[in-house]
Amino acid sequence: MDMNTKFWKWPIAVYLFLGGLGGGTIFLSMIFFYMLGTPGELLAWPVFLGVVMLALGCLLLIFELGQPKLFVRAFITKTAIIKWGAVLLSIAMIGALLWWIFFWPAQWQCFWYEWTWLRDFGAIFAAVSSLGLMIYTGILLSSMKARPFWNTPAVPILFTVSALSTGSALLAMSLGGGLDFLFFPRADITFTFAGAYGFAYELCHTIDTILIVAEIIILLLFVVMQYSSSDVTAKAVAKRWLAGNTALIFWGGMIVVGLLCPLLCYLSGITFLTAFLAPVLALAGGVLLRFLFVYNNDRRDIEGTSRYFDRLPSKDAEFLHAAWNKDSFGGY
Amino acid sequence: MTRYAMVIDQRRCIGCQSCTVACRTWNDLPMDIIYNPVVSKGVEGEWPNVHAYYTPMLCMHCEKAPCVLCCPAGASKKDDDGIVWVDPNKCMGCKVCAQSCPYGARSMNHKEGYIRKCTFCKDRVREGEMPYCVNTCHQKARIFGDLDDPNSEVSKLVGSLRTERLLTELGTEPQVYYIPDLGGQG
Repeated sequence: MDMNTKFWKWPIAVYLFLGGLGGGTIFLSMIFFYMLGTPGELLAWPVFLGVVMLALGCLLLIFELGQPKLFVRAFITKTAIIKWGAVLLSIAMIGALLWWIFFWPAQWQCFWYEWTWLRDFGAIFAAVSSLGLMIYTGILLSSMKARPFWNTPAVPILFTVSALSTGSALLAMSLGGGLDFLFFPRADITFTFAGAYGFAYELCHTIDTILIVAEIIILLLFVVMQYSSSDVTAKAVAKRWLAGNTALIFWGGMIVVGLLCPLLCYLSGITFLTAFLAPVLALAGGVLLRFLFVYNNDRRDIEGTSRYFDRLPSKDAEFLHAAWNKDSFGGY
Repeated sequence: MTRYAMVIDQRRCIGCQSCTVACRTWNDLPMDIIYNPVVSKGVEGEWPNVHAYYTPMLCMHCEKAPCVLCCPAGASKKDDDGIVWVDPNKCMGCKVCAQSCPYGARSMNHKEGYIRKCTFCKDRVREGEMPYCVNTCHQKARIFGDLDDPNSEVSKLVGSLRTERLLTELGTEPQVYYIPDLGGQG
């Protein structure tokens, strides 16, 4: 037994967020491109940002490992859910990049310019694997029988809705190079495709508004169901969220700042609120949701174990280590 | 075929924590890792009829170990004799096994970067000796042996007494059997 039962820390929470965000952005971009006819030039920057998010997620995952040099072993066991996450992550990134290179500025285009089959091939893999990735971030947590609060089918649904919501927020902000002012100016694109841009932009906001409403309903239902659960551990966590130590973060941070505020911003119709504040708050809500879950990983109760670990002095190991180093014991 | 299991007789355990200390010594554990804590329940009842229960915990070496199934690196292994262990040369330290173990039997060795856990002292067992916690228990509350051998003590105890296993509802089929403190009659 480890005296510290919180094995996963902030890098995993951020990784789950970035995996969902990148997956959501790429998936929605592919839907916009193939089903709604949005010009690829408008979607190139969002897809690139989606890949960057996935790559950052990968780096965090590797950074969190005890032995990062062994990270390629993540692909070994077929029964492991993490293996499938790593596979989906890799395919989504490669597929999205294959699609993306077709929308580079004309002066960068090379021999592949005519191979549209390659673009479509990459897009199919990117769309399917990014959808899988969004669901996977929830399944990773919900598959753990040891953690009753996570071990419910509602978690993948909630995480998928949240991933799509944050994805559409990032898509709206970066559509046609929405972050141009930070990087390189491509205002000509939004001008050329003004009609398509306006349609896609409004659609992103509508999608995000609907998804935020759905997320509020699913999240509240989930917590209330867990509160009425027969499992004491799940009930205890839900109680903490609803009216305990975590209540302020859950109600104030998650529900109000992370969901209700962006919803009201979208509904307000004021440009600054809909274009900037709403998506930023939606993204912040997505991060907070992952942190709330990862840091509430209470293990299924075995009578007496909580009491045993609660009684151990905090920072016991560090204290003894320091104390022993001062005298003849010389540490452990 | 050999299938190692442990029976813990809670009627005999007095919560002295000798097994905890012995295990730490044999396995040279760092300060923040305990393989087998002895947790307690109670005191229950009213004076003079009061009672406390002790539950020595350890890796349950589950028949269907969730920690083995979820290990992406193939570092968590289950041998044919039922012993579940971690290969430190293959463990990348993702901690997913520690998250998935319902018994909290896995610990992160932060210094070396890999997961550590109770191995039923497989180095000793394969040389014909008993796990160190079994040898140390002066109350003889820990009994270890081959469950598939009808003549072994564990096999006889599991076959003849009412035993309990922890969190069986999860379908992990733990291989540590407890003879309850106020029970255990056949």
